[in-house]
Amino acid sequence: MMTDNDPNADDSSMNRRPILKTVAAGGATAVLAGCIGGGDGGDGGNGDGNDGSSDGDDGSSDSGGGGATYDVGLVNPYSGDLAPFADRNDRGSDLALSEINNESVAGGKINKITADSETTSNAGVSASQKLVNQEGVDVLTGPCSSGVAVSIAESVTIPNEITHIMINSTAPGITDLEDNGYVLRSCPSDAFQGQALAQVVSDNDISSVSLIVVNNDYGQGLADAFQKRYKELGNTVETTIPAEQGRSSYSAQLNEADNPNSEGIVFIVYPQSFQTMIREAYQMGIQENYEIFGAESMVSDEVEQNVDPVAINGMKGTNPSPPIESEVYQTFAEEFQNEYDRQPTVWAAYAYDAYMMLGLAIHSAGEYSSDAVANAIYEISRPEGTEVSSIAEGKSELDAGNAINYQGASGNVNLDENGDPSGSYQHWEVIDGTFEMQGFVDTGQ
Amino acid sequence: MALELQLVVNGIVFGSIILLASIGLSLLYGIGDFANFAHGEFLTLGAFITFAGYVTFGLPIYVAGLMAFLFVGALGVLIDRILMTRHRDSTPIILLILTIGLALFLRAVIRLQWGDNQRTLGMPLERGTELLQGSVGWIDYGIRITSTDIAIVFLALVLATGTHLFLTRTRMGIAMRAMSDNKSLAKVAGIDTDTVMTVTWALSGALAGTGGMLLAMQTGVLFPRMGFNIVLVVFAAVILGGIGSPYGAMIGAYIIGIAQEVSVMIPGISAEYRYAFAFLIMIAVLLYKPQGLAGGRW
Repeated sequence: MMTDNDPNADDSSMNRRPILKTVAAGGATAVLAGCIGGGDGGDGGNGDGNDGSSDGDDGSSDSGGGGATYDVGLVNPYSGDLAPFADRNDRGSDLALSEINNESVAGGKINKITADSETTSNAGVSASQKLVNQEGVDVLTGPCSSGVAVSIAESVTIPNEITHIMINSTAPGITDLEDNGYVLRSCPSDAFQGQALAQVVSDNDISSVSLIVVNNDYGQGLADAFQKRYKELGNTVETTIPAEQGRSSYSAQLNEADNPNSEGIVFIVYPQSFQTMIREAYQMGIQENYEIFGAESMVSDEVEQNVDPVAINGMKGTNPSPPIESEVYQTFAEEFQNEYDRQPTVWAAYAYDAYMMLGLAIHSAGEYSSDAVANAIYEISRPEGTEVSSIAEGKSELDAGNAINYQGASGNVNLDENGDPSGSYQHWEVIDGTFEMQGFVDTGQ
Repeated sequence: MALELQLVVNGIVFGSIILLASIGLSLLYGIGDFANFAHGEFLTLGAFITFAGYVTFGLPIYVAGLMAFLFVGALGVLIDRILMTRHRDSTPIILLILTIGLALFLRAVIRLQWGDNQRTLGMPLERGTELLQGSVGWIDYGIRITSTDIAIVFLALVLATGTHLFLTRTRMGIAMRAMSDNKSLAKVAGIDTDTVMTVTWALSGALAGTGGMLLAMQTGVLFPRMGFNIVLVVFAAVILGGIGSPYGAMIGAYIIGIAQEVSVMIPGISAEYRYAFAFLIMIAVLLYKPQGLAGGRW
């Protein structure tokens, strides 16, 4: 008997909810992870939906400088599951474009040509094919979902050697695409969250830990990244213990983590399981003997409201965050507020940075072509250069022959050799039962 | 890894919770000849009624638990009178689908009333008292026990004893056993099988309601799937004990409870597999002793 757990069938979607809630609650929008969820199912067909701003052919007229026009494609999910992201990408990129086109880069303006990805791989690929083959763009930005992004990269941009700047695709797997440097992104990979957490644990002089990890891609990905970095920093992970969601007791997992060789226990689990776990941990006296750490998934109203402060006080961890205190971010947020009468999300900041970097790369290269942009965009983000955060600053430094380091609204956006920025993370500590942000984690070695 | 004896204690606590659910499940199977897949939702409902009493109305936890006992028991009666009484002679497959539908319905009602988000009982935290500390060879017999642990085991044993007395000392209990033995013969002997069935539902619901309260006390969090998540373990306990035998179910609950906790001591078996371990036992029982520990007796 009992081979089918039918009463369960209606619930398959539920597991995702707690984390979504966390995200909303904790402001940790970046965890949305990318729109990864994404459907690449249906056959969306044509995908030449919305190319509203394509006035690409007026190359000569209204220019302050030389008057060249650089066509850049944006594949954006105007319809489908991730439609809310389309507006964010448009607002962020338009804000950057107004600055770029005011100043003009390499004597020209950037013209954004949009197409609808419909949040599906089929439509996304045909939309980007149209942008590349018919509109002749040299640089493609977007789409949203990591799944769609990989399809486009593998079938359109990499084979055609088109520079592809992803804005919202955070899946760790994108790092490993064999792209010859053509694929890069302005949002950090989920893998970096694990590194930031490793840094925080290590900075607290904890040199051996047990990990309790939610048994899914999110947990495993984060744990792998944590483990790798934590070992590089000269520490040891004693055990990694997977935990299913929604169990009534985690005493067995906690017993396994209760390892005399460990100095700390790191929880990478969702708030719901965590509440049960931390209660049992307290009953077992674990907080007396171990330092407790947690990933960003812990940061939620649920945990604050429902867990007795004595069980979590002193716990530490990380949370992704735009550098809200930086001047760059504040200027960006202010302009955004003026323009759109709302506060920006971290996603708008990623879109803004993608276009700002593109603008500076074009100016640095002095010409607009896929190869020129692909080479220059890494250079203008390197930490060695003079820090700039606007097109005007960047232009004057570049014209003076100096290397520059673009500081973005979403962080320092230093692209590594895989084209991934490291993102910025705050570390937190639980004080009197609430998660208090304690400033930014320095992940750069 | 430490605290071997602690694992046994944890197993006894968890076993006590599934004990209450498995007695009711076993009774319904023995007497009504069907598996009640809505039993997990009985547990959930018991937990949420405890929540309503303890958190919403601010009653003492055991008063809230009594509410769960009574309410879910009454719900059992209601379900029997409205729904199951029309299906006394239905085939097993119809009853199977019926109880699955009932499970979905009840869970939807719970969602409507309390929402999909998790709730917390918010009982004060208590650090376990160390009763023992030390070790013999590789066995560490240190134990920490909280008063909640003791209350759970105590309450479960009291209710199990009560059920035993009910089944052996009252006319109704004896009638239930008779009906479980042979339905037609019981009917011929003048037993009102319809009423017996209703009482069985009431008892089964009340025990599961209390089990839900204990589950909520132990985990501290409530969510609409909490009962369903452990109902498979409950089935494993019932099968181990011998389907339809409440006494077998009692033993089965403790064996499953302890076995799955202690399984983490076996080298190479991580905590992740402790549920699998419960089902491994179930599979072994089905293969080698399909009648279960009780062997077809009560």
